[in-house]
Amino acid sequence: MTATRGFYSLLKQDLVVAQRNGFFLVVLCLAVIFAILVRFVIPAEVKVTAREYVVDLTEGQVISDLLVRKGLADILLPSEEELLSLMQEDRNTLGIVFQGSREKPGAVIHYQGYEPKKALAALSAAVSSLWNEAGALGRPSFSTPVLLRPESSKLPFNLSMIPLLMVTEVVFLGFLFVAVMVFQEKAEGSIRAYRVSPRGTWTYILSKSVTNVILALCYGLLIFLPTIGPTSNLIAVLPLIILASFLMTVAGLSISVFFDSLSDFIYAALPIFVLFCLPVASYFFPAFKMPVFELIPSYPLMFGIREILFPTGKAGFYAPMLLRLAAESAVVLLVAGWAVNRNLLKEVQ
Amino acid sequence: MIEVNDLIFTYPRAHRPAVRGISFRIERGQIFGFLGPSGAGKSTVQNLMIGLLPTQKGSILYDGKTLSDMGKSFFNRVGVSFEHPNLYEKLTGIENLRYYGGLFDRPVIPPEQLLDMVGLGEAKNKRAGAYSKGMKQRLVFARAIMNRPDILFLDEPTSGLDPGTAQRIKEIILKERDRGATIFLTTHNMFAADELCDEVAFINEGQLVAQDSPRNLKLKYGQKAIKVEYRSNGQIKSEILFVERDEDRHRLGQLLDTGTVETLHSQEATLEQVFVKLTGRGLS
Repeated sequence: MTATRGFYSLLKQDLVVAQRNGFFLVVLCLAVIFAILVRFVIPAEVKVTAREYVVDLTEGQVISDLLVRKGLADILLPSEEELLSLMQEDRNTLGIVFQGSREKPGAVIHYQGYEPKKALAALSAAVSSLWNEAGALGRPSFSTPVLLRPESSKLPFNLSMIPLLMVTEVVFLGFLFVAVMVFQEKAEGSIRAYRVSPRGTWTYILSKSVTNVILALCYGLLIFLPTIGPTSNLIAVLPLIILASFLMTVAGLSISVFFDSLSDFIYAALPIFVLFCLPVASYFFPAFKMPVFELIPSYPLMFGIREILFPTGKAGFYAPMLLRLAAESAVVLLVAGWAVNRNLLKEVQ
Repeated sequence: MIEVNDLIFTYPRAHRPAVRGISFRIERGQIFGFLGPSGAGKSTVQNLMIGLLPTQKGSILYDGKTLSDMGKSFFNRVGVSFEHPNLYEKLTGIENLRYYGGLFDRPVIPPEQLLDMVGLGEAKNKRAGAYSKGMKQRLVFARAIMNRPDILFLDEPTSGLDPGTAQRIKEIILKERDRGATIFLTTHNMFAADELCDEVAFINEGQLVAQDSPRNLKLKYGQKAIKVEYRSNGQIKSEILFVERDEDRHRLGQLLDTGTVETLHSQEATLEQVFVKLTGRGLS
């Protein structure tokens, strides 16, 4: 009971210090800026490959009809001259001129010359597929797409940024905030007063962790509520944020106690930040993934939040993901306990 | 009772021990002064006694128990006032005390009362970072006594304080002693030690060179002398006479017989003089 009282007292102190250090203000400002970016600045759709335009010179304009039905009327151009002129002006465009008829289908692809061969091959296959859909004779379909799970609606690009923005606070700021608190206590000497108090290593670690978890939850809610609204899925996201934030705090503690200032610490922190950034690449380019990425906390955080908030029907991922984060947290907590006790709560190692 | 036996401590990468075979005993309810110049090993001994430094050789016993026997609960019974103020500078004076007080498993003195005691009542809502050095020192002292400690470690508690405030702190220290607290006072201020301590120990280059009550030390190492002021040919003159010398005793008798003596003062040694005599160096 008295130990609990001691913990609450230390937690209140850490929260007040965090507030006076401006941590809550930083979190609020970042969350507001990111929420504005997601809602009003980042587009719902971004095309990173070349834009394709189509000229339909086929008999009966069968391709135009098909594209209009697909809602792609805006990529149609009236003439080949106009297409070439447009391609001269915009080097990030490709053009396809459909010719012939259902009986004798044909197409000409105009390209800039620097496009990857794979992209051109894919475009060629798409042209072929489009003719098939348009009912070209003698072109039987040779492939049947099979989906692993029911097709989900496409996630708007701006909303797909939300999991990534969560990583910013939970992983990077959480790691930095706790280091700043440690260096502040070392510089003030206030850690010496704690050393001669009846409370010990675990109370210290728990208080710092809960402070950071509260900051992370505030940030999360400030991002989620204005962008996706109060959906029931938010409840499932919270344990993920709590565990990831706790893990990053104890990791930050484990490392920062070996340094005396932020300027010294940053050299050790930079390689760690780079490591935590690797899963971000997988997020945008799923092919860039190694099994070890799944052990990096930013990975389950990003992919977990995305699957929870924008489900694709993937089953059975939630509990294992939480368990893995919990197991990692337990291991890093033990390391933090050793490091804090040895390097922070003793005068001489 | 505190027993320190044959304590030896060497800092990592140091060529020689900072503390070399120190032993002493402190009785319950005693103010024990630990005197020595800067770098003599005073703070090292205090840090060993409160467990901030690991015991390498020797033992420290509190009523027969070691620090590891008692664990962290030991600090419920202990107050520590550090030489260099160590406060949460972003917190106000009262917040520093309130949150620190919450860490104890026993009732503490209300922060407001403590701040009034050390003369910081009006500055209670000011951030500690904006306090002067003397105010910070007083806040650290207040924090040390807030749990009504059984053992109080005070490292230069009156350093940097004006005479009036220093006197107020000394009075509180004496009240703590009267309450029953055992006080370990580390200082190089001989006047404070002389005024407060029941017993003092001198430390020099990591070793104890003497230990006794201030009075006994002064008597033992000082000279029994009397300063006599008398009138002669309309002028005030003075002489220092040593009572152990026959000729000086005779001279004192002569002066008293003439009826011209105006003042008589005993000239006992100061603790500083005793320290210089024992070590060949000053305390400051």
